[in-house]
Amino acid sequence: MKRLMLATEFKNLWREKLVLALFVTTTMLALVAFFNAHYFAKKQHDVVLAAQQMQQQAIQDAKAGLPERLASTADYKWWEDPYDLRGQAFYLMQNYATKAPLATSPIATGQADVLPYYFKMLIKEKQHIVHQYDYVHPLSLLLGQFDLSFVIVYLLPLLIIGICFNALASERQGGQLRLLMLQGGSATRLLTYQLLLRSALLVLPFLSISSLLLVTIREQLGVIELLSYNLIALCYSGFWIALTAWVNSRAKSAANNAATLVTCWLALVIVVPALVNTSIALLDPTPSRIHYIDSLRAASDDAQKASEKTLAQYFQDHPELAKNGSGSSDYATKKIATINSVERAMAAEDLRFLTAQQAQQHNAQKLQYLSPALIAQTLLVDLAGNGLARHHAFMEEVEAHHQALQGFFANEIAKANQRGDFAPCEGCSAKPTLTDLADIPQFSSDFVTPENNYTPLIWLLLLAVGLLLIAKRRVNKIDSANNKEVLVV
Amino acid sequence: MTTPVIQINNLQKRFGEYQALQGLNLSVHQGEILALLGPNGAGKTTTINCLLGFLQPDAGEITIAGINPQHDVVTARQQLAYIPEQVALYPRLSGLENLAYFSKMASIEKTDEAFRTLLSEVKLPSHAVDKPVATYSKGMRQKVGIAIALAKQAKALILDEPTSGLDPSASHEFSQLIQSLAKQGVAILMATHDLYRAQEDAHRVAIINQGQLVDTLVYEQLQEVQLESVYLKHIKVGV
Amino acid sequence: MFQTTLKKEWLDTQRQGQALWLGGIAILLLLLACLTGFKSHQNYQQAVTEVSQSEQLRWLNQGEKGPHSAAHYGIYVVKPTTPLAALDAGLQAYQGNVLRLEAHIRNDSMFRSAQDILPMSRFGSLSPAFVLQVLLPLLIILIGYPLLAREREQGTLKQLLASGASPAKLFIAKCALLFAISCLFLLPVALFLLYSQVTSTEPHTLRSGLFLLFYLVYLLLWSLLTTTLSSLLPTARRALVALLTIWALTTLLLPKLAMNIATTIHPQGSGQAFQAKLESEVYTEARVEAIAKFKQQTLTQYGVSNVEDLPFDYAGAQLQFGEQYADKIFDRLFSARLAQLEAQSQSYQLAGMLTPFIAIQTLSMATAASDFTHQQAFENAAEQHRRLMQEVLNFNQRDHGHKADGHYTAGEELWQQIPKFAFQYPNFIRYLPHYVISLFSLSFWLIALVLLSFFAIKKLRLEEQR
Repeated sequence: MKRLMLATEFKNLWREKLVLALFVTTTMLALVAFFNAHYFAKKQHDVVLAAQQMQQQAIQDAKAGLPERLASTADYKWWEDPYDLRGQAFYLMQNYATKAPLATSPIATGQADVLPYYFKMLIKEKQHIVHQYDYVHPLSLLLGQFDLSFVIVYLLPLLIIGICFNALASERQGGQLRLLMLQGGSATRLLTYQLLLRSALLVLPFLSISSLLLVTIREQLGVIELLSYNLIALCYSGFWIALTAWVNSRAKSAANNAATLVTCWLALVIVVPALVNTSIALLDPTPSRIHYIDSLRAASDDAQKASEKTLAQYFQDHPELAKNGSGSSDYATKKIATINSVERAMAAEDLRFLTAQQAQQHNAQKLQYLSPALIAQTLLVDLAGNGLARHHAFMEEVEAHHQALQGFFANEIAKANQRGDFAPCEGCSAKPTLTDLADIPQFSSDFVTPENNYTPLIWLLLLAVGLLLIAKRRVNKIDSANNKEVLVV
Repeated sequence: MTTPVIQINNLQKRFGEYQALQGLNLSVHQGEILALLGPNGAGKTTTINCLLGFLQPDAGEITIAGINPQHDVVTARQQLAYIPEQVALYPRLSGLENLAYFSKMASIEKTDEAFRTLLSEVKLPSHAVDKPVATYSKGMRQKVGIAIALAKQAKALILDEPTSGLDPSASHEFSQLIQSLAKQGVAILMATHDLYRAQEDAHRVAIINQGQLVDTLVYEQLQEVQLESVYLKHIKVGV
Repeated sequence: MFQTTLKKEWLDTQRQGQALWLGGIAILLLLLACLTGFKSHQNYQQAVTEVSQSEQLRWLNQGEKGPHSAAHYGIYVVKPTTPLAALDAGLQAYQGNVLRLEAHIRNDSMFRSAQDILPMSRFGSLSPAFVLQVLLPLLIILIGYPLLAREREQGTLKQLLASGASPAKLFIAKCALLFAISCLFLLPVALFLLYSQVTSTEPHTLRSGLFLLFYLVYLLLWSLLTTTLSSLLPTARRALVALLTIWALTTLLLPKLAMNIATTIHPQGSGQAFQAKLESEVYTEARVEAIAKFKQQTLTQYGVSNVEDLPFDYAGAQLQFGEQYADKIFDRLFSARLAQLEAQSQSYQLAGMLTPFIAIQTLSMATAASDFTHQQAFENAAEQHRRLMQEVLNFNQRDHGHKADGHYTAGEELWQQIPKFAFQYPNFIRYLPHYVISLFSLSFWLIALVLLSFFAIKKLRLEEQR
């Protein structure tokens, strides 16, 4: 019976030319989405690679040029001299902090197009470093990348609705259902097989093609990631199939089903997320970056004006640098002290942004339960490593690296100063104070990303099961006698 | 007389305020064609829906080949076949595929050849057998419906307005098919407005009005009376 | 005819209730969107005024210092908005609204607020433009799909036509009804525009008028399309499915795809590569040589052999020469980058021939001055201001540097010579050439749909004869 019903349903769809159309559509969507997001990730990957190469190249070049530099007595300006600690620290350093896209990146580009993923590090205020970004067309940011998550979150539900809205309803309106029931068939079974077959024809090709592409083209993809991807997509599609079953079980006309389902889609995928975003922003508004500039300026001015006091304060905090008290007039140390003072002054300001974002994130975690689309998108973005969790981990690492660099240069410059290395020597304009660039701390890109939280998936499943149970009860009623719904022709 | 295949005793059904059936009694015997006449709203369709197990009567009893659809709707349905005014088939499947599908749903396994034979028995033109039903005329669809009933070897056949909308020759062909089914021993209940066909084909005519049986005419009476005047008399009385 | 149709459809809708609900929710969403849009616009504009003011004060009160130190100190300028940005914030969140103007460097704008938000926000937030561009068409579809198709299914269409109703009049009445309903939603928007016209110090009459006009056309497009398909397709169900497919394609799929394709066919190097290029092309041997040559020329011109003997401060002259040298390279590299981005914009607009959404989105952002073209206008003006600043400061150094005994310092008098950066968006007419494609595609859609309606009316007439 099962095979017969499935086979006949398939035959019907096939003759409607739906099977082929579906296959072509889903294949195209999978291909376009994957490759678009893949090339996006590849571009970022290339930038990261180039940065690392430049960093290594600088080390190599310095190594190669060292003998010549040691032998030379030319007039070197410290700000152009790669062997001078101060030149490296403030101007010349090729030192990058990078976040390479994960193998799972094409699943969901998420915020990867907006958030910075590489920083050219120099000894300057952190606030001036972490606001670098790739200058791209803002419209492409507004519209977002065409990636797998876009297809899964937005389009798959629409396609599911598009091919399932008339399941059962068409048979009911056409009268085949009556004949079917007289021949021993049941509405429950008919609806079940119709929904299963139709959504399988849609979801399975898409998932298998996209999984295949992920495995073959993104080589380092792990089994767990692949399974997670498929699980999230299946749970989310499952919700929509259940919703379709629920709507179809109300035994209204096919046009009515379509209108109801599209309204549900609109509400859950477009309107609720927009409302959630608006309310998140209203509950904990992000502070204004324009005012931030103002504070940054004020902090810099204060630090500059009080530069002697700033330095004294700095030495108080870092007594190891003040040994012999000799460096007090040194430009570089003063500059680092000023930078430090600005950073300290801005800490509260930065914290305001962080707190606001954490509060928003906290609300988002709760409010995402209002829409399955939000749940699916959040999970997919986190799985792709393009969400906030990984970014925060990255930024913490960047901050640590920034501190390490500052500490390194402050120390080395103080030591060199105490040795008197910056003073012109006999026969040379300045001594090389940094002979091996590999001594400079390098960014470690294996920062730990927090584990993804899959509990919201359970909510999706619960919703789906609940809807299915209600749908089943309703369709069972159609199957039992004394039901007017089946009589309506 | 044999035991009736379709037996309806004191059937009652109410929809809210409206009493659709108030104690209807009816029976159809093996090989008999019973025409069920009555104005719109007399309770014909309600009766059929109760027979098919789509409606639960409020009181009274139905048996089909001895089985009460209220108690065992599945077995009861196995005993009967039903042809509505518009036979509902899958438009994209051919007549043969529809027949095979609906038959197999009822666990009737036959070869394709056997199904083809059935279709030729009901005189479906051979060129149409493999064409999609969407291209069929109403009469052709009805033939597929009859073939489904034949394949099922139903003991009872219920027809709802079978001849409305058929041209005279199709209508004639249809009545021949019905006659031959009756000869094979099927009990046939035919709800209709077509007085001419009722008089021609039926072995017995039952006239119902306001949910009650108001008159029954047996074959011999049918040969003598003007069915129309009898019908109108009853209906006017009813009004 | 319109009145009778209105009355009949009103009764129908009242009985259905569904459309009323939808309409009510939509208008609530729109009002909420207008409110939040207005509030964030106000906050932004206030921040702009405050920070611009305090930056200006900071500049003036920076104290006595060398002109070049002041040039390095620089100034931050902030992009202003028009009141229409409350209705369509466009790309505001995705481009930097602050620019640092300083010596030697042409900076990119900074602080895109999109960087501070959650990934979830990429679902979009409720803005009036979003409601008008995306939700309203859907509402038109949901209200309008059965207008003619259901009448046909019920058989009432035939009856109407048989009783002598003119197909054209019937069609126009239904379409007008739909359009009138959708225009109700423009009412809050129109009121807001009127309010901002009256209260704003610098009214944007042309922009406001065009904004409204473009949306009227856009809503008319959807009303026409809905009525036409409802008339052409045999059943309400098919009309609905067809309209929804068109909606999803035009507002959801195609715009995203179009921009992705545009960025693929006009690729742009990474920001890192651009920065590296800037550095490597400015600070070259050629620059050292050019400066040497400039020095030699200056010495020859004044017939001296030593810069100390020049009648002015050579350092100031060389700084200005260095600026102009770099500016040429900035011009070349920045315009090459801009050309690529402009090409992306144009390709995207070209896709407006496939979907009117792109046309209305482009034109709406354009009139609201929240698109990329207007951002460029701001960035260019800021760059001109930067150059002016450098020139004034360097020339001051050149003309007065040598008079000082020790280190030359200037004061507020000089800082005041640099005018306050007060950017205003030029008249919209001047921007029109950027949007020719969108204007054309919006008109193209209007004409195409009017023709299609004629066809639908003709088919209705045939139906009457059948």
